[in-house]
Amino acid sequence: MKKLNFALLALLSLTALSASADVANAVKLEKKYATFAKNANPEYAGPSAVDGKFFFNRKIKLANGKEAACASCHTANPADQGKHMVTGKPIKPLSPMVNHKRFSDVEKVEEQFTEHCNDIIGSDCTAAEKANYIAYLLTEKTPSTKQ
Amino acid sequence: MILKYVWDPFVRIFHWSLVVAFAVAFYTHASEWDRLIHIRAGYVAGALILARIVWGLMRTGYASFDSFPLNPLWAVKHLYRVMQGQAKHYIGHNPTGALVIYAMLATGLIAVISGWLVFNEGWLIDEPALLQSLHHYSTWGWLALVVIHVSGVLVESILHRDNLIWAMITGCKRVCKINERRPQEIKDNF
Ligand code: HEC
Ligand code: HEM
Ligand code: HEM
Repeated sequence: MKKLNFALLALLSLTALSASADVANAVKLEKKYATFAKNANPEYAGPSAVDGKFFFNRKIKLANGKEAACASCHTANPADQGKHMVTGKPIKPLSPMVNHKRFSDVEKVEEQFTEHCNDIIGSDCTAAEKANYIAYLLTEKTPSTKQ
Repeated sequence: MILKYVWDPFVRIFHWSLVVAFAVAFYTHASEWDRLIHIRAGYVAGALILARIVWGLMRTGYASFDSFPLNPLWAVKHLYRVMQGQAKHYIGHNPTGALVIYAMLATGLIAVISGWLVFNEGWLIDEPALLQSLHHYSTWGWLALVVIHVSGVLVESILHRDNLIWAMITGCKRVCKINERRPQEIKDNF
């Protein structure tokens, strides 16, 4: 029983630790994607928050006739709480400036990028798009309304 | 050689409905567009498992949990005998199959409960990262168990020249008379 308690405690402190990771991780990830983007295209000038914002809000017509953007669920202001356009469930703010848990777990971020990019643009996003995306999110730090 | 009626309609409908629900849930897991289909398939799987547990606790012959007790030791022994080529022929689930069946039922329940908690984020247990990992490992673990399960079914079908898959559809198993034994007698063999 004691062993189990210790294991539980270790597990809990581990999750607490990953939760306390701050924006440093998001910045690290942005750099990582930017490196990949440069490898693929030497002309890539580095993460652009402007391009990221455009990408975030760009509505794309899907093969199934639906039209959506990343903003359709994550709302036009990523510092706000989002709302899932299919299930109606609330989604915690995507901006790592407001929600420190975002962009802390590399594997999860990669998985969510792949799945959501597939959902919206029909293929995975490029490293450049991902770097721009994070760069843009890092600029959104004020929620527009009190939640 | 005789044909014996083993799987009641409930077990057969339960089994193939669970296979469909599981397949739908897995097929739809990656897309946010399919999220509602995913969770409905998951709930169906959960309801089926709960119903099967109730059915197993009742006096339902070969479907009753009493007729295929959970005993890891027997499971290992049976597997060993299979490899030696001298395994006994069970009418209901063999002890190795039973172990995998219980593991699938338990993992399935964890998968559904964790999925439910992930979907209703912040409700009851507010540990999204932990719950997501739990849902991830329980669902992929369940898939691994299904692979083991289907391999076991195929191996036994070939070794005993008894089409178990067809038996799960019609309810009738081909049973060699010499080896025939009732569920209560399973114990005496170990
Ligand atoms: C249909 C709704 C929907 C759309 C559209 C959508 N997302 Fe998401 N997104 C979600 C949900 C739900 C989550 C998970 C929320 C959670 O984990 O709390 C999420 C989380 C994420 C995360 C995880 C961040 C982290 O570290 O937790 C990333 C990255 C992401 N989305 C990127 C995108 C991108 C890029 C697009 C546009 C191409 C997009 N999303 C469009 C619903 C959506
Ligand atoms: C989602 C995948 C599957 C799950 C979760 C699953 C689960 C189960 C469960 C719980 C049982 C016990 C039945 C009971 O007593 O109620 C069982 C038995 C059985 N399953 Fe599956 N199953 C799956 C896929 C398959 C597939 C694909 C096949 C066919 C190839 C199959 C063939 C069988 C057979 C033949 C039995 C009876 C085994 C015996 O005679 O002891 N199953 N399965
Ligand atoms: C048959 C049962 C189920 C199976 C096989 C299953 C399978 C899966 C798989 C494989 C994933 C991807 C997870 C990953 O790889 O990280 C997933 C995600 C998910 N599932 Fe399920 N699931 C089941 C039941 C449920 C239920 C009942 C719900 C909710 C009521 C649910 C809600 C979710 C949600 C919200 C996600 C997305 C999680 C995320 O984005 O991190 N699932 N499921």
